[in-house]
Amino acid sequence: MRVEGRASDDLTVVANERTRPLGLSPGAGALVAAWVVAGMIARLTGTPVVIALMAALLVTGFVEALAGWSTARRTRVVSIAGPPVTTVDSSAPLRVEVADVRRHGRLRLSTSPHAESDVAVDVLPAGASNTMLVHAAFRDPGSVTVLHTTIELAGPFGLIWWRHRSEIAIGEVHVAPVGDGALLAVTTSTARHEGAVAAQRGNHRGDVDGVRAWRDGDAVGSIHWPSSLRVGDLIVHDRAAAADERWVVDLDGLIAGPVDDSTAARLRLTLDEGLQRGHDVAVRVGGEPSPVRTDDDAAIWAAWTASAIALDSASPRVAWWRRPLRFRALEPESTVGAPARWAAGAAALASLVLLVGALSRSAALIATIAAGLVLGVVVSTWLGRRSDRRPVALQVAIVLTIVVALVLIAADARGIDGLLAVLRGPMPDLLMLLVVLHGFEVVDRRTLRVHQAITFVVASYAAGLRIDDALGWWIAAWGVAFFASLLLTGRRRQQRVGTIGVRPILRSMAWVGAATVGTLALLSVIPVPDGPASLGLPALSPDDAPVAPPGALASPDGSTVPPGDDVGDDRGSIGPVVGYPGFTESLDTSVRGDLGNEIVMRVRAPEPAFWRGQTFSEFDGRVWTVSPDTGTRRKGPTIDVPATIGDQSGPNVPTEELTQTYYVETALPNIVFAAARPTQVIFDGSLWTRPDGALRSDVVLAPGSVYTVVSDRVAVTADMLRGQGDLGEFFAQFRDAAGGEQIDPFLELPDSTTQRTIDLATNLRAGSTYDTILAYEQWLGTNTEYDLDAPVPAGDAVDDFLFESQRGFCEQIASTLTIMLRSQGVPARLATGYVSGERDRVSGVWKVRASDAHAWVEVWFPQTGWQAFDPTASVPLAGETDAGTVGGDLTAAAVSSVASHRVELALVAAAAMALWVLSSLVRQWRNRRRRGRWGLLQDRFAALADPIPVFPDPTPTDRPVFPDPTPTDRFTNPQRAALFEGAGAHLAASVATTLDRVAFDPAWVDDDDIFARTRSAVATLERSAR
Amino acid sequence: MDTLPPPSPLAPDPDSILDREAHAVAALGARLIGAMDAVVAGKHDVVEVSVATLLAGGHLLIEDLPGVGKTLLAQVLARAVGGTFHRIQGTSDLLPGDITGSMVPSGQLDVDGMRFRPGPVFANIVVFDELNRATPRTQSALLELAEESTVTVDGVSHLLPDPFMLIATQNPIDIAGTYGLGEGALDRFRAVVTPGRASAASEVEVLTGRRGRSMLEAVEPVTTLNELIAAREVVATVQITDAVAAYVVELLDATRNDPRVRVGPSTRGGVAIVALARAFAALEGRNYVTANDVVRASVPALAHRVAGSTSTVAAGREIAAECVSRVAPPTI
Repeated sequence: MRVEGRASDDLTVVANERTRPLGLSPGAGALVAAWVVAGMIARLTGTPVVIALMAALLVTGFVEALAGWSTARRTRVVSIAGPPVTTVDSSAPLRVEVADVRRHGRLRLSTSPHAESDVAVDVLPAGASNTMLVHAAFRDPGSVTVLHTTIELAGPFGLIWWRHRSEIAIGEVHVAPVGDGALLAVTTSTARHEGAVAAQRGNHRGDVDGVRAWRDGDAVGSIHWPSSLRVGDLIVHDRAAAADERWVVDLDGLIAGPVDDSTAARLRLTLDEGLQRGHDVAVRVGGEPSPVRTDDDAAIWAAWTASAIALDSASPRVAWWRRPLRFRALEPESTVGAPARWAAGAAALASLVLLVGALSRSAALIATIAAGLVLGVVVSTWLGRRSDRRPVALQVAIVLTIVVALVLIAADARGIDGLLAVLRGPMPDLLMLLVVLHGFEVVDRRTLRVHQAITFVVASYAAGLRIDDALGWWIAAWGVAFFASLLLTGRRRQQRVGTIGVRPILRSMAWVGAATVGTLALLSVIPVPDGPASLGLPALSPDDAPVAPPGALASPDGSTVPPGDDVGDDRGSIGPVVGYPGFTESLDTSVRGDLGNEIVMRVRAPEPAFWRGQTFSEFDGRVWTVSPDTGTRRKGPTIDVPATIGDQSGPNVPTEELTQTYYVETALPNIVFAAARPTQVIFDGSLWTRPDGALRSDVVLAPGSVYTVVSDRVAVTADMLRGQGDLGEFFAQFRDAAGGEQIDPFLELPDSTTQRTIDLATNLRAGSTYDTILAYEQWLGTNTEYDLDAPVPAGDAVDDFLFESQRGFCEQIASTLTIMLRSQGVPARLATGYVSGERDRVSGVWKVRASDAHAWVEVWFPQTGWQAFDPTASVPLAGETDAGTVGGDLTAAAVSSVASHRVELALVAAAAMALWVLSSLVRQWRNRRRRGRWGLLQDRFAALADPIPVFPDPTPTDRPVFPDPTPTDRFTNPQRAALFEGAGAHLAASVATTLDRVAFDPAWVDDDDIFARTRSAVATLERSAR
Repeated sequence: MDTLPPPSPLAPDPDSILDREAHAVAALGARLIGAMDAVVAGKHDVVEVSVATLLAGGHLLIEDLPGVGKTLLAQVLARAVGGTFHRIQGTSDLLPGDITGSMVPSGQLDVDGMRFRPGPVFANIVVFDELNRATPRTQSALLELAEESTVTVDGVSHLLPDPFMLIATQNPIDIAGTYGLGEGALDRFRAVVTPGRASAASEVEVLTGRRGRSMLEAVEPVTTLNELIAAREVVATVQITDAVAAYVVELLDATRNDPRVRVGPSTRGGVAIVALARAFAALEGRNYVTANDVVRASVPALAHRVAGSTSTVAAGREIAAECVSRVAPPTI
C-alpha cells in the first residue's frame, strides 16, 4: 500500500469505448415538428420547393449526426491523474488530459457508468489538446481505480448530442469517509520504544517538547508549574508512558463482524484520534499489524475498509427502466450570439415577405413586419445579454396580444368558406403576428431554435401558397439566412483565440459540398409530387355577378354574345374573349384572333395536359358551333361531373388521377377549364355540366379566381390505341345497334366537303386508326405549313387548306384532321383551350399565356374514350409521360435562372463582395479605434508568443503537481519576450519594455518615432518567427 | 535571423525618460542582490524577493526545511545592509519581555529607579529563528511591535530604529511542540519565501567553501541606512495605474474563489502585492508598475495568506501560482 503522496499517472489504461447518441438540444424538437408540418404542406400543395426544403433540412440533420458522431469518436480522454487520498464530498483536483477536442462539449467523470455517480461535470473547451484541472467530489468512500469518462458533444449545428464513453484506469484514489461517530474498540498495549520517538509521529498540535497540556488521569505531581503559570492552563511533564501507548485496531475482526455504513468513518476517527494523542497506532490485517503513521494512512485504511464492506454488501444493479428519469440541459450554455440572432431575424423576415407576397398584401405591411422583427431582434439581444430569463411583463404582453388577436379574428370570421379562405384569411395574419411577437422573447438557444422552426413552417406555408416567379429567389434568400442562423446557433459565443488554419476551412467546405451533393442526390430520386391532395383543394371566386341567360357563354366583362352574331371577314375583330375565337360559341376557322403574351392563368398540376375549355362537333365548312344544350346546373363547392358520351373507358384500362388547381390571372369568360376527363370540380359557385363535356360557370372568372379540378386520365399508350384496330368498322357496327345514332354528330360532314378531301383521307389510311392518324399528321406536316397569316379561305376551309393555300394555323389544321377522320367513319370533334404552358420548376406551377390558346382534335376510341390529338404541336400521351424529379427540375430551374439573370447575379455577387470588404474594413477600423495603434501592435506581439502552451512533463515528484495550462493571453510582455531565443531575444525584450511603458507608465507621451521603430521591430520578429 | 538588428532600436534614452531616483534604487538593489548572491548559492529569485521586501518596507517570512540556508539568507541580508543586527532563537519559554526589553533596576533602586533595557528587537534587521517555537503570546507581541515599529514597556513607548525589518524563519515539518502561526499573524508578513534545496552545482560550491556560511564574514555593507531610507521613499512613490490595481483585485478574487482556499487573502494582501510590485519596478529602474511586476510579486505575497494556518506555504505557493495563471493580465 502506497502511502506517500504521488500523482498516479503511469497506469492509464483506456477500455470499453462506446459512442452513442445522447439526445437533442433544447428546441431541436421544434425543427423536427416543423419538418413534419412541412411534409403536410407538401402533401397538401404538391410544391416541389417545399420538398426541396425538407430534403435540405433532412440532409442537415444527417450531416449534424454524422459530424457529431465522428467528432465524439475522435475526442478522447488520454489520462487522468488524481491525488492518492481524498475525502468524501471534498474537492479533489484531477488532472485530465484530453486530445483532439474539436468542439465545445462537456466532460463527465463518474465512478460507475451511471449519471448518479458523477464525481465531476465540467465544460470541455475546444482546442487541439488540453490538460485541464477538474475538481471532483467523490460521493462514496472506497478505493477508486477506474473512472468512467463521458464526453458529450454535438455536431456543428449543436442539435444532436453524442456521448463517448470510456473507462480510464487512474491508479488508486482512496476516498476516505469523514471521520465520525464513536471510537472503535482498540487493543491498547505499551510500546517498547521511548516516548520521544512516538512523540514525533502524528499531529501533536498543542503539545510542547517535554511538557504537554493536562489530560484526565494525569498525576498532580507531574504539573509543570512555571509553564502552567505562564500559559494560564495546566501543563504537565510529558511522560514516556503516555506517549508510548500502542493502539491496534483489528481490521480482520471488524470486517468479519457486524458492519454498517458508519464503520469506515468510525475507523478513520479512531485512527486519527490515536495519532492526535501521539500513540503508536496500527491496524491488524491478515493477522499482521501494519503501522499507521500519518493521517493519510488513516484515510487510506478507512477507504480500504469502506470498499471491503461495500464488496460484501454490494447492492444489486438497478435496471435502467427502474431508475428515476432525469432531464438535464444538454448544452453547457444557452446564450445566443448576436450573429445567430440577426440571421434568424433575416430568415423570419424572408419567410414573412414570402407569405405577404403570396397573399398580395401591401408593401406597408412588409415594412411594418420588418420594423417589428428588427425591434424584436434588438430587444431580445439586449435581454439575452442581461440574463437568459424572459421578463414576465414581456411574456404577459405577448400572451395578451395573442389573445386579443385571436378574439378579433374569431369575431371577424364569417363562417369557414372553404380551406383556402382560412389559409388566406385569418391564419396568415395570426402567423405573422406570432412570428413577430415571438421574435421579442428569443433570448436563449431553445427559443431561437423554436423561432427558426417557425420560420421554416412559414416559409413552407408561403411556398405552398405562392405561385409567382419570385418564389425561388425569396426561398433562396430565406434558405441562406435559415441555415446560417442554424449553424451560428450551435457555435460558442466566444470562439477560441488564435488563427484559423486552412485545414478546418477545407474540412467545413468539404462538409458543405457533401451536404449539397447529398441534398441533390436525395432530390434526384424524389418524383415531382402528384399535385395537390384532395384535402387541399382550394376554390375562390371573387366575382359573384351571375351571367344573364343561365348557362350562356359570357365574355370576360360579363356580357353574353349572341351566337354567330359578329362573325365577319375582318381577322381579329373578335377580340373580346381574350382575343381568341375558340372561347366563343362559334369558332371561325379563318380567324386566329389577337393573342397577347400576358399570363392568363397559372395551373398547379404535376404533369402537362391540355386545359380544355370547349368542344365543338357542328361544322359548316368554315365555322364550328357549340351545341346549344347547356346541360345541368350543379351547385358547388364540390361538384361531381357526370361522364358525357364517349367518356367511358373500358374495364382493365388504367387510369390516373390528375389534380389541377387553376389560379386565374386575367379576366376570362365563364368557361371552366379542365384537363380531360374531369370527374370532380371544387368551385366557389355553380357550374353547368354540359353534355359536350365542357363546363361553364354561373359567373365569369375574374382575376383571383381559384378552382380545382380532379380529372381521371386514362393512362393511354400507343399500343393501347393501336390495339383497337380500325375504328371505322367498329363504329359502322355500333351505329346499327340500338342507340348508336348518338354518335352521328361526331361523324357528320359539312355539305361543302369536297371529294378530293375524302379521297386523300381514304388513300392515306394505314391499318389501325391510330396509325392512320399518325399518317395524316405526317402528311400534313410534310405538305402544309404553319402560318398565322394564312389567307382567308374562299370556300370550304378544309379543301382550301389541303389543296389551295396549304398554309394555316391550328384551328384549320385541327379542323382538317377532324373532317378527314369523320370521312372515314371515325367519330372526332374539335376541342379548344390552352396547352399546358411553361412550367415554373420551383413552385411546380404551369404558367399559361394568352398565346397558349389552342385548338386540337379529340378522337373517340371506344375502349379508352376521347383521345386528344394535336397535329400542330405534340403533347405526349398520358401513359407515356414521365414525371421528372424534384432535383432535376430545381437544377434546371437554377441553371436557367442563373443563365437568364447573369448580370443581376453578378451585381448581387459584387454587392455582397463589396459588403464583405466594407464590413471587414469597418471591423478593422473599429478594432483600431478600440485598441489604438499601440493596442494593435500589442496584439501582434501577443500573437507571436507560442500559441500552444507547453506543459511540464508530468514526472513524479515529491507531491502531486497539477500544472494548469497557461494560455497565451495570460502571459505578460516580458514573459512573452522570454520565449524568444538568440538574436530575437534582445529585440523582443525591447519591444516588451516599450509596450509596457505605453500601457502602464502614466508619464508616457506618444511618440511617432518610437512607434515606427517598435512596429518595424515587431515586423522583424514576425518575419523571423515565420 | 540573418542580420542583427541595430542595437536596441527602441531603448529610450535613460536620462530623459526613466526617473533618476528609480535608477538609483535599481543600482542599490543590484548591489544588494549581488552581495547576497555571492554568499547564498543558487537562490537568485529568493534573494530578489528578499531585497524587494526590504525596499518595500515589509517583513519577511522564510519557511522551509532545516539546512537550506534560511538563517544564512537572513544574516547575509543584514550584513549587506549594514546597520545593527540581532538574532533571536524562538523557544517555548521565550517571553515577550525577553525580546522587547524590560525595566531593570538602575544603580540604586531607590535612587535611580528602574530604567529600560532595550531587548534584541532594537536593531535594524532582526532575525527571529523558529518563530513557531515561541509561544503565541511572544509571537503576538513580536508581530505587534513589528507592525507598529514601537515598543511600549511600562507605559513608555520606545521607537524602534529606522529602517527596521523583521525576518522570521520557520520549519514546516518538525512541528512537534510548536505553535502554528494564525492567519492574523501570517498576514503581518509582506512576503514569504521558500528557498528550497540548492542545485547540485550550488551544493558543491557550498561544500568546497566557495559560498555559504564561510563567506559570510567577507560580506561588507554595500549601502548606508540613509540611502536605504531614501530608497524606501522612492519605492513608495512608484506609480501604479488603475488597470494594474484592478488586476491585483482580480487576482485576489481568483484566490478567494478557489475551492481549496479556506479564508481568502485580505485587502492587506493586495496592499502587500502592490508594495512588492513597486519594489520590483524600482529594482528594474522604473517608476511605474507593470503587470509583470504584479505577477512576480503576487506569489510571494499571497502564498502564506492562501495557505492559512492549516496548510504549508509550499502548497499555498502552488495555489497562488495557479490562480495567477488563470487571470489575464492587462495590456494596452
